[in-house]
Amino acid sequence: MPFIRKTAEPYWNPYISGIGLGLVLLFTFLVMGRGIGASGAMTSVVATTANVISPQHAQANEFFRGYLGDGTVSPLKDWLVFEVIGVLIGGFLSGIFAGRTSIKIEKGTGISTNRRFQYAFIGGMIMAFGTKLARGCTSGQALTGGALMNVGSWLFMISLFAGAYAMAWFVRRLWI
Amino acid sequence: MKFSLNLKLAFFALTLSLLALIASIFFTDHLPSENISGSNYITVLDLAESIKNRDSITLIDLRSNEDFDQFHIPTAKNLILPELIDDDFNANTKIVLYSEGDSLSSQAFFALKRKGITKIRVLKGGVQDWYNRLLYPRMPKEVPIEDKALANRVKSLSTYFGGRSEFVDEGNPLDYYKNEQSSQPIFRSKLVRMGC
Amino acid sequence: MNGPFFINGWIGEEASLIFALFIGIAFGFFLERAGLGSAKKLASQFYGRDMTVFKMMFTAIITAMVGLFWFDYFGWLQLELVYLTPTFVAPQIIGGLVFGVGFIIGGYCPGTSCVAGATGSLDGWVNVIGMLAGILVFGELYPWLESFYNATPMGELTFVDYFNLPAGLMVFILVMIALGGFWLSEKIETKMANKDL
Repeated sequence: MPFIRKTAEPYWNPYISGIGLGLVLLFTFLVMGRGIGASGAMTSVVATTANVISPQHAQANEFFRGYLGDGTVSPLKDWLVFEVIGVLIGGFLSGIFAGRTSIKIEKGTGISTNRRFQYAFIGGMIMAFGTKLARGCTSGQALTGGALMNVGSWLFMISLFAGAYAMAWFVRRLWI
Repeated sequence: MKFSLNLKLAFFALTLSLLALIASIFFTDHLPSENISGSNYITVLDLAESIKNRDSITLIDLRSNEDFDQFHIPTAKNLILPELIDDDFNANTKIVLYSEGDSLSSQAFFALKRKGITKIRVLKGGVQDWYNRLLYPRMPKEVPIEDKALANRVKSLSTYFGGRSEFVDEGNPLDYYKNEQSSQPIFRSKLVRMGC
Repeated sequence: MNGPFFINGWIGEEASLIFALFIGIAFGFFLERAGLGSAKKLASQFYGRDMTVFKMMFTAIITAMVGLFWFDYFGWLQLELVYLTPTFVAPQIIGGLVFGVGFIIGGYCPGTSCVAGATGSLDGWVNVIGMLAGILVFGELYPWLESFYNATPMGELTFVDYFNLPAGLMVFILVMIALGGFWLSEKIETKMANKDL
């Protein structure tokens, strides 16, 4: 295929990409009356899985029940789930066009692959916990709520940067 | 002099937001004509359900004191228009306004909106429709199969508020609720859960 | 125009799902374009070497914010019908701190881990699996967390309501803060580029 390049293209100017993302967000507000998100889709997946494995257990949990709905529609037939499938496709396509899609492991030079996987898993767990506590992630809270000047979203965003900067020094060997 | 792209973008953002600042301070009466769109209405059925579920809404009856004493919707509070305008509402209070029909409550809607209170709904059809369509709704004797759920919803809400359904031979009075339904915002969507 | 189209009944539920797919594609595309599918690039934000995360996030926020202001001003979009996540001060501050810690350890946030996975980063997939596990843990602990989860509620609250300022003024202030942040980011990047940690 001619559009697959051998060497990776440079990334776009972050401000230009930011304006693109902002317009996507604006268009979503206009059409849907809601913003974008990511973690909600993962919660739908978890709730559905829990419901398949042990329906009684999942139905008894108020948190999962919120994502399972009344049972007439599959929780996976959800706006955010479709959006995140789109994110996967969009990321893949952009990576292909720029010659950046390849099997790889992103890590600092100082740590082994196993270590990187362990940290990626633990980091994911901690992050998911924070996301659910705060009712949204960088997409659902920071971007969406940020644009709506939502007080809670800005509090979340400031705390997010504070938490990451405070922790960064301790885990610098992971990345540098 | 040549400016970098980033500087141009920054200048563009600055201009747009400066215009926003000027617009929202000096040009606030910009909208050519105001009218209530479908989504600012609430139907009698949805209001009834909200009251039944004890949702935190402030229901305001705009009619005179005598009318209010004679009959009003449960949980309503009586405030005539001047009182309403003087009243201090939290901008976040969810308010439902009703009057005899639609006109007085629509006036009140815009009065509140100008005060910066935005979470307002107007009861479609006012107290008239509450009485005729919710407390004493008319039902077809033979409910068409596709309207069964709607008929049950109306009947159960009617009973809950102490009313009773009447049956008619001709036509399908349930059509009233269906027309209203289409102008209603879809808040209880099954596929679009709001938030993350 | 009479937005939001979905809430005002202009588009149906099924159509909204197709729309979601396309919005997602554009979202993922722009994230990848800026390089946010790379854990190293994301992490560099917190060592001052590459402020792309901040720059892109705040550019997107102010773009959408200014756009929303004008859409509302011209009556194209009823802003009061747009969903606002309610504010709960304590859980959102603590949640943000926890999120930040997880972010720098794992290297991704939920959206970017999907983009990373889609471009072939195995660590991105591991991060997604970690998140699924984290959500499960949260769900299981929810009965004990519920009171904190619902603590310090403030309802649907924007800065405009909170400070009782004209919307345009608030937009202007936030845009100025963002532009100042961008200027500072460029400074920090130059300064930190070759510094050892």
